[in-house]
Amino acid sequence: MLRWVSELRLVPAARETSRNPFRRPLLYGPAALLTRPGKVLLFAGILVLLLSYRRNDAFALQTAALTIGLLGWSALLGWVWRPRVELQRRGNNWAIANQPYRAWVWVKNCHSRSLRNFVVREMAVRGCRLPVEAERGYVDILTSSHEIEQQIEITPRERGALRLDGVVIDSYYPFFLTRTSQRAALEQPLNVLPSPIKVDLPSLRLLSDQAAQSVNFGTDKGRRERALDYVYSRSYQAGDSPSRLDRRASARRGEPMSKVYHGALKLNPAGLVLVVDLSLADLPAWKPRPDDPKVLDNRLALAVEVERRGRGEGLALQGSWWNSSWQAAANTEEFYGQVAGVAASHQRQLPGQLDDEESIHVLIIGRWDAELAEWVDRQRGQGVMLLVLMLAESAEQAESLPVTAGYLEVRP
Amino acid sequence: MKWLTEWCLGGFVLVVIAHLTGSMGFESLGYLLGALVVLRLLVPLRPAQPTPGLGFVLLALGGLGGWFGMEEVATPGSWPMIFKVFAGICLGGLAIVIWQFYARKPEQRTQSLQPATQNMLVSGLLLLLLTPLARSSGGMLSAVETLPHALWLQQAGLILAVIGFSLARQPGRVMGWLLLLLPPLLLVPVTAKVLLILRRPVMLALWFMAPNLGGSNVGFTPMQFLDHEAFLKPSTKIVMRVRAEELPSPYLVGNRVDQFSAASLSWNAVAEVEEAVQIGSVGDTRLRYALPTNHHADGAPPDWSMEVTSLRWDSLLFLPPQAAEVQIEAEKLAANTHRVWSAEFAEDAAKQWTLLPGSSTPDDVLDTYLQLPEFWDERLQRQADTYAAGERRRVVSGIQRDFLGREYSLAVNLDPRQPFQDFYLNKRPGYCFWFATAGALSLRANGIPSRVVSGYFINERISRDVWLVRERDAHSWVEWQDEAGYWHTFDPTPPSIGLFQSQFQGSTLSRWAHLLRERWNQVWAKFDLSDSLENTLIVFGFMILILLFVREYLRIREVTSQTSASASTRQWRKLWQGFLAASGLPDQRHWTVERYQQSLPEEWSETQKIAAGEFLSYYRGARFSALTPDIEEGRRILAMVRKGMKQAS
Repeated sequence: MLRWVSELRLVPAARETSRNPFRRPLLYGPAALLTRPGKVLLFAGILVLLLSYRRNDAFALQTAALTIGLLGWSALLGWVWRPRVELQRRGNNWAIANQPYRAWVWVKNCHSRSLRNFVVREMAVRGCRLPVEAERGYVDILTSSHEIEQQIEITPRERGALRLDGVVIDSYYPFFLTRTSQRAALEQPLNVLPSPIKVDLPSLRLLSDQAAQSVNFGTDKGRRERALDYVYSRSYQAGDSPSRLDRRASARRGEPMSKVYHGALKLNPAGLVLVVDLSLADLPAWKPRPDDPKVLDNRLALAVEVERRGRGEGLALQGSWWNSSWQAAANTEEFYGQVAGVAASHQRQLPGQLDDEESIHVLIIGRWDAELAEWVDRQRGQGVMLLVLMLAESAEQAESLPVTAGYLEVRP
Repeated sequence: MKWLTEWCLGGFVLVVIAHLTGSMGFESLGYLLGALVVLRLLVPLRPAQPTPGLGFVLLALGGLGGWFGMEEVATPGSWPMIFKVFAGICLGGLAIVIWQFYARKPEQRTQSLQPATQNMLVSGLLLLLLTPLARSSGGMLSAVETLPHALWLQQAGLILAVIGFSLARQPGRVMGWLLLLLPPLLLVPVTAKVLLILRRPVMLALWFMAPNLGGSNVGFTPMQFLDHEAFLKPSTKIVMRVRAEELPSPYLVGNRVDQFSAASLSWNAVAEVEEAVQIGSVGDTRLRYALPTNHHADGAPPDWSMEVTSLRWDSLLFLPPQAAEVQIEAEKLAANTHRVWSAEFAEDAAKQWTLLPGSSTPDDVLDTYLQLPEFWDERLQRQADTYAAGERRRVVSGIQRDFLGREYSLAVNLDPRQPFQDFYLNKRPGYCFWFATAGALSLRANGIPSRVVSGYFINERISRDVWLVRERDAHSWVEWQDEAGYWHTFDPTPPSIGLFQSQFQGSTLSRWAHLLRERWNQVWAKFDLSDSLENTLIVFGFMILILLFVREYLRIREVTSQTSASASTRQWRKLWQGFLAASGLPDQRHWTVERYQQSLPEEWSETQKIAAGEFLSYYRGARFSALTPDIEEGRRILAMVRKGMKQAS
């Protein structure tokens, strides 16, 4: 119970725009008004003021007066020349974990005074890292009514569906001791994909061709009759198509016989359907999320890679299966949104029946067992082209996948 | 502008050197370091950047050097003589500032805050503002004045830092920007007056907000005289560690007071100043002192010894009543007029002493031990008579029995006109001062010599042989003299004091830390390092630090040389930056050359546009060309651009 409570995330996300001081990090509150030299000056000024309390002329009050006066004057001038600009943001709504996400910001100075010594940056968002101050896009002057386009960046640390709150203009004018900021709430959803994995993925079409030659599709393959090879006849079983009845053999044996076919020619798939198993072996029911998100992230990174490869081969994504529901994907960005938003599940949840016979189905898993083998055989028995890609979630699971066409274990 | 920025930053570093070396009295070192800074301004030497690890090694070297060698070089009476380690760390910090000045790149107009310059300014400002100002002579201990130029130097350094940091990034009117610095300078007297007014409330606010970290003599601390409000601020602060196989007594005596003042409700003693007699030594450093004792053994084990480690800020000694010998690293041990023992510890000596038993002699009976206050009337005497018995020991037992059921409380609510009568006759709650006073006066009223003692009561055992003493254990009790002249301890405070003490428990972590510390002291005491071995170890430590420094520096140089751009790339970068500086175009890293061509300012003359256009065309064609381009051609066009810009301005 204690562990379950400790796993709960009850603290609300702190945002730079929050007015409530408890929900706004100190770093972006009062401390943000001073640069590092400014903070040192304030600290030293107050300390000198206190040290000069008793008749101690080793620390002079005049020095404290100059230090604090300089900071106060700098803050006053900064406020007078504070940024008053119009801002617009332009950028993608997806990013990759641990890689900088870049967007463009259009800045127009709407005030009669020039805007001096400023940088443009994203607002601080939990789970993301801003570039260090020296590496932010800096502009020394923007005259009145003029406009400029600046690139800003932020680095998300992990996969997830984030929201960028907006853009900030920090002006250091006049002495680079204080900051005066203008915050613009330009919200933008940001789907963060997992960090990519380095895999050597073969062509999906090639994989499906290889599988088609060796997979037993059973007897219900009326539409692909000419693409299949007759292998043998067996006794009729309930569910066999009447068009597959081997009349000659039936007459000869005196009992109904069905023909069995084997794939032999190339299929002509029209699209791609992704089925991702989001369950983890090491995720007990009481745990809301895995200790190490890397395992699932790698599996999702493989899904992203498969989608990208499919797109390159002309296989448009028809749909994807996440956590017991089908999601249609109209475009890649929508698919990325699904990848960013899914969570690990405690139990394996796979669709009962795959029914799109025109598409290649790719099942992405982390472990192989008898239950899954039975499910895959059932789908293939129904004539569905199903490829199984496995990225082993633990060392024990490695090399457990059958070594035959249609199965591929990916090793990054 | 660039040269002005460089010289301002150089001037700032020179001011830091002058301030620090002047304040420490190392003028010749200041000249040497100043010459190094001027050399950097004239010759563009640029070593690798200091890393945090190397900075730490430099500070550690400085601190160690200060600890072991500052006395040899510092001016007698100057502050480095007192704060040796801090002075050494400051010198290490100064070395870092100079190194950062050497390693930093010139300020770029296109970069907001260069980290190397920021680091240099932060270190330099801390050294400039938070070290004492230079004095005329004699250092901090003498009554001498601060040199007037030291203050000016400090303020000039501050202004130079601000100019050096910001000027390079100010587009356009430099003079106008410099004028902005005047108001805070001119307003220094006014700001100082305002701060003077604000200082007292700020100090008071800080005083009330600050946690009681100890280190002062306020709180639950026994004083040299015993006042009725002496024990009203208890705390969990640890004041002593005691190590003994078996305690001779749980009481540690601080003072013995025998004169009660009815007016101020306090106990005092007026005794002769007494010095302990030195009777020999233990090892090289510890001396043995004999203490005059006339206390009865009272069931103490025959062969006890006790090791006390004091964590108090003062040099007072607290001893069990039976102690007759002290072994301590102190040049002098004396009891003052309040009969409080204090030691003059040797330099660098730990505040530790060992206590041993000895022979005891009977004491004389003085009049003061039987003196009753002026307010002692018949009612009080009648109450005291209820304890009367033949034998003195039985009188003591009678008082103890009577006080046993009384209530202990720090929140006393006594009649302000007659507080003692209220406590004694109406059996009001009180704390140890009141019980000890009542006990002592009751004994005197029955003709038994007595006095009040204050000190600590040991009751927190953290190991088989280690006890902790906290300020909450401060206590007062009574000593009475038997028929033979020996003194005995008598504690009239009821046992409910334990409930009060249990409210001030320290943390388990601190108990473990103190136990570890005590064990470490035990182990360390077994090593007796000779001076030569100690010096060898110190030199060895220095050598390791220096080796670490050299190795890390070489490694950084190697890494820097691997990652730095090739000579050709550096030339192209320099050419491009030269163009940006000459043309005043913004440094937009994401802009293509075409974008620059499209963004040439409309107010430029045709000559300027043609020159800039020609340079951009050349750059676009040559920069990433597969053939080896002629960079001299680029330099020629850049010179043309500069000329065109100058003519236009």
